[in-house]
Amino acid sequence: MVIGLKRNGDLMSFFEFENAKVAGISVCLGENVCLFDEQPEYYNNNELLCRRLKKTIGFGKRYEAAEKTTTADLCAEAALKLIKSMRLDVNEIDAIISVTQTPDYYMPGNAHVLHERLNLSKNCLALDVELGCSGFVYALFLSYLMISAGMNRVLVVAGDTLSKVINRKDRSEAPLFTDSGSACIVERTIQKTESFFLLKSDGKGVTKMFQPASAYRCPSDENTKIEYMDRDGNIRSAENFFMNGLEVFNFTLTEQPMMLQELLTRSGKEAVDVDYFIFHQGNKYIVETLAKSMKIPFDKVPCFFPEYGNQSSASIPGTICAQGMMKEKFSYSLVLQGFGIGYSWGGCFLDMRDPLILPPFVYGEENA
Amino acid sequence: MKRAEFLQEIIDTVEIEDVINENTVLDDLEEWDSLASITTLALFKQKLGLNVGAQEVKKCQTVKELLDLGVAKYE
Repeated sequence: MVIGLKRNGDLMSFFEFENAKVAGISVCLGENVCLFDEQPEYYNNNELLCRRLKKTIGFGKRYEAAEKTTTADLCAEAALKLIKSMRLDVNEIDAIISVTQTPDYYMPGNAHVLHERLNLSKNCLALDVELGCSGFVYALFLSYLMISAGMNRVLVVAGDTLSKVINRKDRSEAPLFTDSGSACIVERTIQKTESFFLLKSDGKGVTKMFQPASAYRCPSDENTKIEYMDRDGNIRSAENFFMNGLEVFNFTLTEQPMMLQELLTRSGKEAVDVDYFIFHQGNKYIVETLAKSMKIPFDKVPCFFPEYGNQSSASIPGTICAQGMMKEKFSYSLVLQGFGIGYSWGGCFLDMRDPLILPPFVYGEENA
Repeated sequence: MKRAEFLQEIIDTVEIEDVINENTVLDDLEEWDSLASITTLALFKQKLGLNVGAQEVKKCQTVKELLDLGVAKYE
């Protein structure tokens, strides 16, 4: 058995792998298109505010899943299309890792729901990761670990349908998010590859982004359903998703440039060694501010927030699919960086070898 | 960067159209909202290399109080 994981130095959260690669990625978007320009009444027809939001935050187009479409539906469609396009036999998938915070059921998690939907084998293990915008990087790390432990092929699905937990009258959150599901195949490779992961967490962020009620700490009752208005005029209940935008932005701006620098330094790389930096697409302002703070040219930092919104855990694979990657190059290097709920953040440097990157598609539009 | 230059950065970035001075009350400005707080927070980091807390920006009532947050870094 090839051991592909090397521990590096003294830091427990930095890892190097040399025998795994991303072989394919696809993403499936919710079926209802929402255009910022068509909803000026949402902002009291305040032209100045709409112009500023469009220019600064990058509001444009986003996608919401229909009432009966779930995260598992979107992830299943993305996975089916990828498996078919890669001509894979489902019996050759050794594990499925699902990342979501909007599962079909509280229990069991979506990994088993999708195990059944995709007709995976009993020898394929199913595992759930309950994370948001950092989740794809974390699940990718787990898949690389599994490959290092002897598996040949792992399916990572990541997606969310946050529109179902966000109050539509909450203007600070509702216009940001897109519902989508992604699929990614990670495979063992004989050729040596270079992959580095750096992962971090800070539980002090729990109440900065969370759904306060409806689980077991604060079960759902008539009080948790009462809607209230905050100081900025946004309306939500304790059962809706809440985000302290200013605190979260501050966390992002403080920690993310440091993480990126640390990842590059520990990996022995410089920004010039990287073809694309795929940052979590919190919004356009965040992506651009991170690029500026690291002095990385914008053409190396794809930003598809205006076209696709914030796809939560599918944001990074969704951006890779939208970018389409380099057709003229067989091998290229990517830095992926996800950050959000928890707080949780993770980055990786990946050596990409001829992956199959499918363009984003809308649920139900193509039969996988 | 001088204090006046930093004020101009805020005016340009937040796109404040009114004529303002240090005594201007932030809540009197149509443009001063959560988006403005966020962009100002980023300016402190980018232009002055200063880590200003989100709560500190939120607490400011006047332009003077806001500019005072960067007092250690002005030329």
